Amino acid sequence: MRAVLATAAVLVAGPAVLWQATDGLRAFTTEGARRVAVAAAPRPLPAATLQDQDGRPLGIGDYAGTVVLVDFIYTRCPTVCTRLTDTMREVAAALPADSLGRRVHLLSISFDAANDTPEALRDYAAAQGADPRSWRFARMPDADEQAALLKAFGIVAVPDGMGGYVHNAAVHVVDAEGRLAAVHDFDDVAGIVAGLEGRS
Amino acid sequence: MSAPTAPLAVAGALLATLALPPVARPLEASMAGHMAVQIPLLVLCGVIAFAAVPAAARRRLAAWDPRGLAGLGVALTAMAFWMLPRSLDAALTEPHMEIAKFVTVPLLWGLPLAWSWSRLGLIGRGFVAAHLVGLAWVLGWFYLNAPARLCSNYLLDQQHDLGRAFLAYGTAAAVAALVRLLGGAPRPVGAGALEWDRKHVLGNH
Repeated sequence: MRAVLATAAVLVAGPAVLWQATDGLRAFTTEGARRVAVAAAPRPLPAATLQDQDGRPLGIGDYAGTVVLVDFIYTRCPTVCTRLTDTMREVAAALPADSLGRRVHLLSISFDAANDTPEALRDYAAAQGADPRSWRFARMPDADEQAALLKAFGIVAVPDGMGGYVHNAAVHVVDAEGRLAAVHDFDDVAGIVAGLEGRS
Repeated sequence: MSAPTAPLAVAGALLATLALPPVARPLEASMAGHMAVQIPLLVLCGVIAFAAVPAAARRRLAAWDPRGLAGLGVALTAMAFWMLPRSLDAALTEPHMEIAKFVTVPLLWGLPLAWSWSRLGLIGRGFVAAHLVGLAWVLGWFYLNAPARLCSNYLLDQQHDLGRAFLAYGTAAAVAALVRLLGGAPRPVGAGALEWDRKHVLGNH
């Protein structure tokens, strides 16, 4: 009888532990886990002073009252950042003209502050045809603030050994209260636009 | 009879060595070093430590888990937990998860596995061995072919290295099991067969 009880207890407790550890079998990876967590509860973001492509200080708090789409890139990235930037451009094109730059802004943040100077960001923005009134490019000059902001967003950038980075890519929605409220796949233009309709 | 203390000393020394930052950091720097070297060595700490469990404690344990099934469940749960990419990532970024890894892998994976192995019969051991070989091959194939990174802290190349390591482990385990099967004493014919089955197949201790 004791053996049956012990085995039954393990058979109940084991799956329960794994259920809890995977958010109900919904998230097996860190990337999946942060999406589930953000969807369940918007995440406050730490204050951080960014520097935009014109060298001016900029904070996510400056966008209070509007929705901001945020992506994390570095301008020398030959792969996923290019696709991310394409997505931002496509979302911008799909938004109503009276929304973009008023109720919705775009912000591309570089985590490669050493290489992405304001000049490099300005060149990159120009190459993308970004309208500076609605889409800013910025870097994080303070290393501690960068670490805190990346951690809050759940961005991990790993040096690739060739001078670049491998990083998780997504489009993040920061709501009017300045909280991280949603994380979208980096190529899900339709999903991002649909998600914005309920917020802006 | 008291249990030997030497295994505990060996397991403790191995655990302490693995926990040293100059040892832990290089191992954790690569996905294969983390999953295919460090974690198996932590499991080994638990397996070695099991030899130090006193006979009286084993008897009490046997009353609750005579065939080692509950222990096997605990070990498989711990194994599944630490196979999750998010658990591996968390061990790198969250100090409490790193500590949890060094505590739970020996205690909840290695030790129960050794206990269960000591109680299981041929069928049970065969099940565990086949499960682990199959799992190593499936995971190896998966890590080699997954198009995206599963761990945020590791590169795709490192994921491929881990896949190759798992395939090698699975193959080595399969060969070892085959050698054991071919080299073991055959089942006797006639009167001794039932007794042999009781001892080897059913694991009736």
